[in-house]
Amino acid sequence: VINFSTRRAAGLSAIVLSAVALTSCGSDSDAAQGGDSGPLVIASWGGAFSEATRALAEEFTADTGVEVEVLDAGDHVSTVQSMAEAGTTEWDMLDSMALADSAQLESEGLLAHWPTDVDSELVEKYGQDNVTDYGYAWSGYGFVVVCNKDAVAACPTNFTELFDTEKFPGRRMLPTQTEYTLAAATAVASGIPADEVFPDDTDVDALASTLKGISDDVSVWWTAGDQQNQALQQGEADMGIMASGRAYQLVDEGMNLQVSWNGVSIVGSTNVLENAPHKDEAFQFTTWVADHPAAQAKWMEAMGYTTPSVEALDSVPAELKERLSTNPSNSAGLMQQDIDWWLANKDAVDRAFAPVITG
Amino acid sequence: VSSVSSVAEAPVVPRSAPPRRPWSLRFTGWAGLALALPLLVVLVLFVLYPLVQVFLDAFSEGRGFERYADVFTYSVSRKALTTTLLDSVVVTVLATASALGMAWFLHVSSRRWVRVVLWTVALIPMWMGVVVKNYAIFIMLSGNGPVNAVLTGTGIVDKPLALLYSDGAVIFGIAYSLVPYAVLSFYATISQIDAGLLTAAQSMGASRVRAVLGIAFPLARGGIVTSMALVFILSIGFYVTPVLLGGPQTSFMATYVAEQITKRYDYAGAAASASVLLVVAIVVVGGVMALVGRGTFKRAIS
Repeated sequence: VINFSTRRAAGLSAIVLSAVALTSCGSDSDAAQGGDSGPLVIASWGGAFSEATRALAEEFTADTGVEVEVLDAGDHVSTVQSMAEAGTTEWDMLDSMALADSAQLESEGLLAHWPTDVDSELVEKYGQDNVTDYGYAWSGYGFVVVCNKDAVAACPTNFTELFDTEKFPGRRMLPTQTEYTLAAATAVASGIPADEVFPDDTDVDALASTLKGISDDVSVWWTAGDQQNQALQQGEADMGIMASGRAYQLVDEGMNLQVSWNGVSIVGSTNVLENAPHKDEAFQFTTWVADHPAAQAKWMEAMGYTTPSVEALDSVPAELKERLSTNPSNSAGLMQQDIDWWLANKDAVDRAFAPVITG
Repeated sequence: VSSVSSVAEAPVVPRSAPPRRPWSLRFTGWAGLALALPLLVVLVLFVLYPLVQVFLDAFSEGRGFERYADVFTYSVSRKALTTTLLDSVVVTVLATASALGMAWFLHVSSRRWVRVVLWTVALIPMWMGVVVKNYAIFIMLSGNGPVNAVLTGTGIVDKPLALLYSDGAVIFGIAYSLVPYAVLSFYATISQIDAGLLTAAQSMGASRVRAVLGIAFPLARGGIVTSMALVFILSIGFYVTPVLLGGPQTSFMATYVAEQITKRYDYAGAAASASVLLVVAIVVVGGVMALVGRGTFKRAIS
């Protein structure tokens, strides 16, 4: 009897352990598809983002006959790096990368540069500010100051007020140090004029001590997008820095949320990979999108984020336009990212800010 | 040998060519090795090689030993390491406290429904998906969640407590996840104790408590220590729970390693952090094995 029950328990634990091992090793079979003959592969971000890009791609396919597969991906940079290392690049395009991540991949030689004709097309449609050698701006929004008016008596409307815990008491939610916006917010709160952020002589340690000054009032350091919504919905935070699209989601759900367009303008950069198996189709997709502002407008409506085409912005419904970062009354209060400074200093920011955040 | 030949001569066995060598339950060393070879190859390729490689990767971009030193000198990394170890100690104590009693009653209870209920309660955390389980705890502990609703509703506190993003939330989440492992492991040890011994002790005048502490506990001690080591080692590797319930302010080593890879692209540093965690696990296993002896160790984990 003793042996039987021991063995049963042992067998049970063996089954359980192997089940755990199996489920934790779920393979990403989507990423294994593609290849030279397959469709153009665009690595997107999952959820609504992938859906919006998929709808755009479907319109492209209907028009040109080129098949497109939009993947739900996550860690684009490390995936692209390891695919390049393995010599089997299966992706063609990266949807709306963070500027710093794009620049990182560019510095490693992993991004294709636009051929002359594609480049002139992009510059004509989007303007020079929205085009680099290796990417075009896509999916713009603002990191703005939000505040739950039902939770606190006084609501901050900009970064300086958000960092003033005496006049504006309440629990804050802030991004972590790997987000450009946190450094920019501490710079403004330290007294650097918003249009000068970041000056060359910025003292990163001084920014970290500004952050230290309010860290006791920060209840949530968000690391993932959806955490911003959760923190306000679940009452974990009363105010903070949040992506504009997400803020309006909460407004639409009925939260009494004040959205102040004083923050940082964020744009993504859409890229073609240097080793893309369908490079020509990727360039074709790029110019097709630039040529179709109506399709871009649909993307904006689906995502609540903006695209660089002025023509597209003017054709979206007025109530959506009011919520987009490129709408002139909104963009007036937004700082542009100083991506050169960030690339040169993000390791220093990380090293100085991380100890403040982990406490 | 004699029993084998008597079976061969039994009338029910159809007689064919007489076996050249009597069948034996024991393999020769070479046959055993040959049979185990596929598994050995898989283990070397997919377990041993990557583990060694992780240690070496820390040296891949120069500054090898300095990277190992960084793990202990950089305040963020050091805090992640101490949080991982201290929280895991508390997790081990909590999981042991709740699982030991369950394992004991599973062994001694003669009522079927008690055992069914206990097994169900013990194993439910394992049947739930990792994300579902942690998200459920997340909702429970959040500012507008049920726990705070009860606390404020009954007037115990005025304002909702910040339960999330703390060591307490992480410890609770991990301990809950590990109770099934603890129960199964404790049960493997405890079920070997002959309940008759307790009856014998009581018949000779010992109280129930004295019988359990004086007879059952010493028999189970080695297994209990081993099971606690198992829980501790599983706990120090947790990733999802510290991310969801702890946030950046309660970072575990696994969280920190992931951040090194995905946010800083610091693969060598990540390899050094992972190696340190692995060494801690090996030291704990080795220490416990030395403490309780190999036999007890093997019984408790198999």
